[in-house]
Amino acid sequence: MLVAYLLVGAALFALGLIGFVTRRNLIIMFLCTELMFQGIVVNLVAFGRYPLDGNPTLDGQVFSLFLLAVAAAEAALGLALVVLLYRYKGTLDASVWKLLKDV
Amino acid sequence: MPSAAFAISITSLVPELILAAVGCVVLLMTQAKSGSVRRAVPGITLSGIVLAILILRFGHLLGISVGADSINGGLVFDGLAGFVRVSALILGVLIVLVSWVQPADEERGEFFSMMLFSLAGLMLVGPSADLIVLFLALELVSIPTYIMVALSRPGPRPLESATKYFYLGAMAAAITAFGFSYLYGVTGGAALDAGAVDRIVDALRDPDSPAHNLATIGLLLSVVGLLFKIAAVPLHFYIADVYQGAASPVAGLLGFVPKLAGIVAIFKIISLTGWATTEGALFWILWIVAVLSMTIGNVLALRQTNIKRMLAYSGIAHSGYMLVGILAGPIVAGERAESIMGDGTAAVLYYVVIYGIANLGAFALLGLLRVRGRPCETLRDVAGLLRYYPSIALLMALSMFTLMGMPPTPGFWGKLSIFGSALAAAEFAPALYHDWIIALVIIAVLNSALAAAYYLRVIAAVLLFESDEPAEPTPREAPMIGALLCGFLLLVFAFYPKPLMRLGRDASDRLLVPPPTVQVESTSAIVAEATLLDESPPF
Repeated sequence: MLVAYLLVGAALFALGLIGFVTRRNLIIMFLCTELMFQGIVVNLVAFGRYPLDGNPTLDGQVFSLFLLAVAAAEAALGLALVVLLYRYKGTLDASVWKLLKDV
Repeated sequence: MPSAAFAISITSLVPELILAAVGCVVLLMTQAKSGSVRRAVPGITLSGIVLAILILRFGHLLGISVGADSINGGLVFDGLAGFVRVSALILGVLIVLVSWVQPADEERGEFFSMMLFSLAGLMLVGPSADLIVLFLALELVSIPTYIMVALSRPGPRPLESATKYFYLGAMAAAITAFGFSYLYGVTGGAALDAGAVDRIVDALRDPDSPAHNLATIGLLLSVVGLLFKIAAVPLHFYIADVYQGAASPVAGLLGFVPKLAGIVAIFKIISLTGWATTEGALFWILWIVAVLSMTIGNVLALRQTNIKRMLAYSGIAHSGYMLVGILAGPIVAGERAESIMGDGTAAVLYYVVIYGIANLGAFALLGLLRVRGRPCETLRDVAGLLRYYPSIALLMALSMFTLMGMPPTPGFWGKLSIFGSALAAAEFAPALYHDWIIALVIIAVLNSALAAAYYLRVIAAVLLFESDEPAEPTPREAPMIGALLCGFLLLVFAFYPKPLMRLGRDASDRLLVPPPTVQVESTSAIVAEATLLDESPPF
């Protein structure tokens, strides 16, 4: 059972990472980091329910709750930044922002 | 006795709680109608930090045991915790002074409250002895710094740099958390105690066990994600843009707060392996990252004429030097000597603080200077300072000499002890790794020489060149006092490095000896025992 859950978690994480690297839309990139966090949550809950050895513990579930809280805090900040950026340029494309670079 | 344990935890955390409470007060003061209330914000922030220092130092006289050496709620107050808390608060005073006038009047409350939250997070990273607490503390360090970068000055540039910082930071946090989830799977619990170390070490030793791959991947991903915090090579892209876009004092803060948090977190993760950094996959990862960070950081810094970007890239190189010390590991020499030579982690802790002070001092002076009303950034801007403002010029030269590692500045003692302990570690390493560690030290020394080139360029511009249009310092007292204090501390640590080194030694003491597993009495063990009896999961 554990292996199946871990595969789902790793797949979600990998999809999020690939999406983060390849996409240029600020909202999509943000959603990709959320996808990565959800993959981690699947891992944590799976390890909590089906430990490698020993008895199930609740640490994984507790960790996943805190992780969701952190993800929500990041969502609040990320969307605020996206709104401010949109007001300047009127687009969500990350590649139009090149004010800072090596000369 | 959960209530007694709870009480101990709360009193131990009084300094952090003071910072958080003052942070909330300052946040509310932004809403005040009168300008005089808003102008009081930096003063209140500073007094909050000073109060936290006093409680940390003299709290036991009031019956507040801030350093209770016990594991409660995932916190252990050992030497490492003491080092992190003291250095965070002392540097916190400098940071508040340096950024006293930084953001616009209306945003100062938010800015300083975020600074306090970030410092409180850093202070929590030190004592954390639990994956959950460690992760939350790291996020408490990071998230406020994204906001500080965005708020630090008006215009689109800080926004762009905050966004880059935030997005990469969120991705790095996810990588770290993914590693943590595998580590949790291998150890079967979130606590970073002796039991967890045993399980990780067993899993790493036995290539056939199902836990072996999980432990390896978990360790590597945790460390790689944390490289973002210290801006080492695979995750270093953001740093120059962030330093350039943010106001100078914030860039100075970013050179210390996330860096110390990342270094301490890496310490805690690597201690899980019993500090097996001189063999296996961990060795190669650290070796490659250290070499690439030093070389790429220095080469990129050489090409810069913008001092903020140059300092940013040199920060990557400094992270590389720190990784050399991490690779050496704690107390390799075996004997408990007075000096930190032979104790890689103590040397790294010493170096992080010295680097933080020198970096903050340099950025404080850059923030203080104005050329035609805009902040000073390039080499041309700082040219010829010696003739007009000798004190500022000499402070800048002192910071640069420290970053360069010129004897007898404290930067030299830091580099000497890091490279010395790496050489000591090589003596104890297996034959194959011995030569590679020696090679690493040689590369590090060559890189230090390379770095001298661009630091000397700044020193030459400040001290030797002439300029018909010199930069002018803004007539502000607090940032100047902050910069002077940075310079004063650097001079103190140049001639009396002992106290800070001894703090570092105490801090690295416990890294090889994890806190004992105390869950025998705690509730989760009772739950586990109960489940043993009736063979059903506890939920």
